[in-house]
Amino acid sequence: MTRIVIALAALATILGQCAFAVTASAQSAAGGDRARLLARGDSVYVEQCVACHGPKGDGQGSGAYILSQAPRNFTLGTFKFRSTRSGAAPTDDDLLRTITQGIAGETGAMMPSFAALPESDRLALVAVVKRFAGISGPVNPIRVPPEPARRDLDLGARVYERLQCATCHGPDGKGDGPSSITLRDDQKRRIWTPDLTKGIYKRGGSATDAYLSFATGLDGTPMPSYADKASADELWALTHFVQSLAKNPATEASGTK
Amino acid sequence: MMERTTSTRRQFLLAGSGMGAAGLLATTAGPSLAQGDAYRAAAVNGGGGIEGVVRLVGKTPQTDRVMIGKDNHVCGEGHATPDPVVAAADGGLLNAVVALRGINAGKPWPQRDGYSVVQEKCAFHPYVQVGPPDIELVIINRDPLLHNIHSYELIGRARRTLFNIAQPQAGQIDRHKLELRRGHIVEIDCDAHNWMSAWIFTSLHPYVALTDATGRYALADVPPGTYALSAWHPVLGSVAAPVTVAGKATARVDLAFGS
Repeated sequence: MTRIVIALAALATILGQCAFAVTASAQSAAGGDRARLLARGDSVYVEQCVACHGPKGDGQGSGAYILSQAPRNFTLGTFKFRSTRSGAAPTDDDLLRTITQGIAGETGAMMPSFAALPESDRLALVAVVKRFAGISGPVNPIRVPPEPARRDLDLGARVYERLQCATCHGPDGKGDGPSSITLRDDQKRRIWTPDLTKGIYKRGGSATDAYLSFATGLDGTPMPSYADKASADELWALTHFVQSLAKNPATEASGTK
Repeated sequence: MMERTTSTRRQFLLAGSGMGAAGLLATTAGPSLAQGDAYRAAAVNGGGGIEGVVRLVGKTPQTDRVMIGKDNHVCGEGHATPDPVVAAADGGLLNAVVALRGINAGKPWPQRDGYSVVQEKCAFHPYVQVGPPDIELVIINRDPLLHNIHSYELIGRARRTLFNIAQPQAGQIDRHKLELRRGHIVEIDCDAHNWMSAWIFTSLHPYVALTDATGRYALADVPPGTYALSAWHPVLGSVAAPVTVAGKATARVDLAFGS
């Protein structure tokens, strides 16, 4: 019996050492992988990103001055399009998505899509952006419950009213609410509320995009997070209601913007 | 040996108004007190005190006045001053933060909960407060309308978003821990009401005090030694002077903006 226990203990020790050796070698390999990833990312960044976002990632690229909206200053670590709570870092998927699809604007893309780059290069850019922003460690996305099949637009309209979206977005979603004329971004630059009746969404046009905008806010802009201020059903209803603003013929007919 | 930095939202106004134009340093986020600096907390025996008055000398600088252009039934009528400079007849300055610099050991922050910001009648209360950098802020809306509490960490000239959360109904309460990276001053705005403003001056050590309506402040239990003493104000920036504290004695240091 004793012999068996000793043998088991010895086996456990050997296995433990093996596991340790494997872990250590994995870590060192990961370090090498990360260095290679960043080296590739730096190279792609210089080719694709530096003109607007600048060599230091601070949004001070040589071409930044011609843009109507300032390129993101990564070094502040503030990102609009996240699946995480207000003030938190974005996930890798969030960053990859913005790089891949770009950022839509009413007069064309504010940031172009980089979908033409191989995914490995886009992932390398994610690593570079995270390094500029000082993001390390795990980031927890919020849970997005499944979208209900039924579109309850009446409930959505009531939620729009209760959450007082009209303060900035206006009663019809045209971006002409009473606070819209005084809004400024995090660096105190004038910022405009989008006209939701146009159906152009910077974050992207999916229902999940709208849901996440409500639940996480758009950091760096005045759009706050409404997490805990409405139930998931209500936020989905709001999502469907806001989507309906862009499709409502009556709204389009009366719209002059 | 007065030194001055302006750091805040009125820096351009200040520089343009002639106040403190001489001796302006490149901006930093207020007096240097990097959060990375170590501070060792322990009971202090035989410490001394520092008392004095923070004054505004000369003309009170003109600050922004913002029209209360909406929600008048709750917010009132007329204009609001988001960042007031309030000085008594003798110059005693309200809401300046006096802070010791260059101290790496001393008493701990007192245990206290309830670092809060209340939104009432479309104003933040308190306007300025001091606390440790890791406080959990309790945010309360007492107004029957949408406020969004939008807090920033000041880093040089830039503002880094700490959080931006909506409170569309009266009675809503949120708790949010401040997670500062490099700065120590927190600015709070409401985008829905652009005249609302509040500030939190955080410090690793508890030798910070807010001046009262007469400009007076007092710091107690300071370990004997020589330090710099700074005063910071959201509009006026900061000034500093040296101070030497002896055991069981009270040093008197008056600080002045605008001289």
